Amino acid sequence: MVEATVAPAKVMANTSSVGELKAACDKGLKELLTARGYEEMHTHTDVKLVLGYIGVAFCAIDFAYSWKYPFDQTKWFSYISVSVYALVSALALVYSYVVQRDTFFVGYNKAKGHVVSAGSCTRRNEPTYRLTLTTRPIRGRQDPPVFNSKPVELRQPFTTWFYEDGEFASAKFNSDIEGAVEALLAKKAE
Amino acid sequence: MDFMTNAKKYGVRAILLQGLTFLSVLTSAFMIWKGLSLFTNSESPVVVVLSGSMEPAYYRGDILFLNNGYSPIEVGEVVVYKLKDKPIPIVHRVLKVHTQRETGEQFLLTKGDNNSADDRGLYNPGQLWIQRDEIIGRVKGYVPYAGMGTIWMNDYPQLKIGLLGTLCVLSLFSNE
Repeated sequence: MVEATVAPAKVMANTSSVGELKAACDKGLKELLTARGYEEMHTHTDVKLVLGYIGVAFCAIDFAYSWKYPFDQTKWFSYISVSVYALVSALALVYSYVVQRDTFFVGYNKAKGHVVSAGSCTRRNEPTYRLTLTTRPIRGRQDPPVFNSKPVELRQPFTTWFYEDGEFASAKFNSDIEGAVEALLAKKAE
Repeated sequence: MDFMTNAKKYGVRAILLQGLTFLSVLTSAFMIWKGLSLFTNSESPVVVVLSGSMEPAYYRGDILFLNNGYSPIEVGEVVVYKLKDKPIPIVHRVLKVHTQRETGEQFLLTKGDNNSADDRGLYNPGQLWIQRDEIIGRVKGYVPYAGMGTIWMNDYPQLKIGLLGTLCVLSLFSNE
């Protein structure tokens, strides 16, 4: 079979698991947007990685220090590293819940000068994919807010994009989502 | 190793993320322990009773919660102490206390409730009293039998490695 640029080999998902269905759709959307020329921005991931590894570094140093020297001698550093670790973990949690929320893909198109963010969520025991697309212009600053323009929302049951055996129908998915993406870009132009 | 092929396939970021998920199991466990340690001012805030020398108060396998407050040790308190150069801490009751009038330095004699003699036989050669800084903490609370798992893991170290390994492997398979 000729390998298309967007569709890879068969993507299968367990139709009983809303999580797996959502993950397959997220992956499909990522591929769709990447094929349309949006380069992925890894800001959310990078922030969490930096925060996480700062915590790990302090933890490792404290472990080594308190292993070698007695407790009373290393207490002062342990106070510092426990506080740093707590702070860094709290920041990462806040970032995840307040800034990132449902966003799983942020892509920028340098030529057109805007950024598209895609977020998705599902409700418990409800097989509906809730997709939110937002767009904003590229700015020089780091970390501008994601919710700048009116978002485009798409709500569709998973049943429309998956075969009974769990195979993902990416062609149907792409055609449905492209409508939403077009609507988003049209709104941006207003 | 196929690390390079994996790196190219998933990207360095994905590998770092997986690494972080795995490491956060270890670091959060260590930090919780350290936090408790600092809160109680004790180098080992939770210990397991290994012998029956404190029966009928504490049995082998009980978990003890320690607190190492700065107040002077009193006769009758159950303390956990670790002698210099001896790796295993001992939990016994304080029998006698002598306090230096000028410095407030304390000299303690301990004995296990279930032992027939005091602990001088356990101390380092020539040591008649233990110092305050050899005390890890006073017993503030206990949970019976909860420490049997630790005793098994000490008797069979493969269990300890197996448990930690399982935790880490499970964290690798969790989907975010």
